[in-house]
Amino acid sequence: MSTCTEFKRKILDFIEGHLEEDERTIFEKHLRHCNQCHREYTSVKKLYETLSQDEVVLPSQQFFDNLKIKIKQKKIVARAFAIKRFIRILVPACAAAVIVLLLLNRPAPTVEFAIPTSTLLEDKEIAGLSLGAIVDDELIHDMSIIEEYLAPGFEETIDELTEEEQSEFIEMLYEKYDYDTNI
Amino acid sequence: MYSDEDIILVKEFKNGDEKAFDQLYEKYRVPLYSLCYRFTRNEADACDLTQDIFIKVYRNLKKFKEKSKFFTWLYRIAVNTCISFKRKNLPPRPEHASVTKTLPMDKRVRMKIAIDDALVKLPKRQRLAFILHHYEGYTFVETGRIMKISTGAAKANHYHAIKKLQILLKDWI
Repeated sequence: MSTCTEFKRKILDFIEGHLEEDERTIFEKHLRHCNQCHREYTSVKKLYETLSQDEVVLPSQQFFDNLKIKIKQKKIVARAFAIKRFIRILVPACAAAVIVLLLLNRPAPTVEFAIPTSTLLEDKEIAGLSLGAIVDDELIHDMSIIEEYLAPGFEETIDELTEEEQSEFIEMLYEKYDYDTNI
Repeated sequence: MYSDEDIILVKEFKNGDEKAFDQLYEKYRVPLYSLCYRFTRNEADACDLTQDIFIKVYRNLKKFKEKSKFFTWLYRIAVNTCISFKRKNLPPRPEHASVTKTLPMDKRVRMKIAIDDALVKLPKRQRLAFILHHYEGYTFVETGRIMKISTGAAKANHYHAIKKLQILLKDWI
């Protein structure tokens, strides 16, 4: 510490007791000889004394008690508000999502074609898709034979068979499809 | 004095212990009210501010990451709330100075009014730096951390506040 400017900078530390012992001794010695620094020191010291009389008048204990309750109530209100706000957003969002899903999953329009059963049965893919559970290759084969015999010209076809062969064929059909011949 | 005890309470609160918050409230309610009163120089405003601060603290305590000391975090909320505080439709403050001149009043009352007027005239940051250091007893390092400014800036703010108060309170010193 050598100049008055530096001494003045240390006035607050001196008043607040933050100076080291040796610095304090030098400071006090300077104050005794420097009127300007002494005046500044006196002014700040009086300011501190004046401000030390500034007391805070506390509110009542009731204020602090009520405040403690209020703080937590505000939290609850805030939570309730957040839930309400969430619901206010969530409900329309869910409704919109349901509408979109319904629109997306709407069944596609169907077109009906008149297709003979025999054609369907011959088409293994279609038969597999729609009748897979009841139709097998053997049935398709048998149905094809029946179809042949029922087709125009059946009379001739059936006539080509002998009587015995005709009976055998009909017997075979009955047997195949569990038709009781004794009825 | 502060950190260990406070951090334990903060952890307990985070684990669902409401009473831990009550203890923190009991510990800091008067210092924080005093800070608010000294900042606003008005009892109603100080009550409003104290309430705002504690609501923020209660709502955000679980988010406190414990990287700083609890009181630094707490006072930072207080300082920011003070800085952004605007009076709520209250009548304008009475002109103490004119009252002082016309009415014979007790010296202590007049001095209090003079201090009120002087502190209110300080810029907000100078006022806060002054209050934190002078009245709340925080070092300039702590004041700087609370105000998110350097130690030097905290010291400078305090110094300028002192210089202005010397002028504003010249009749009393």
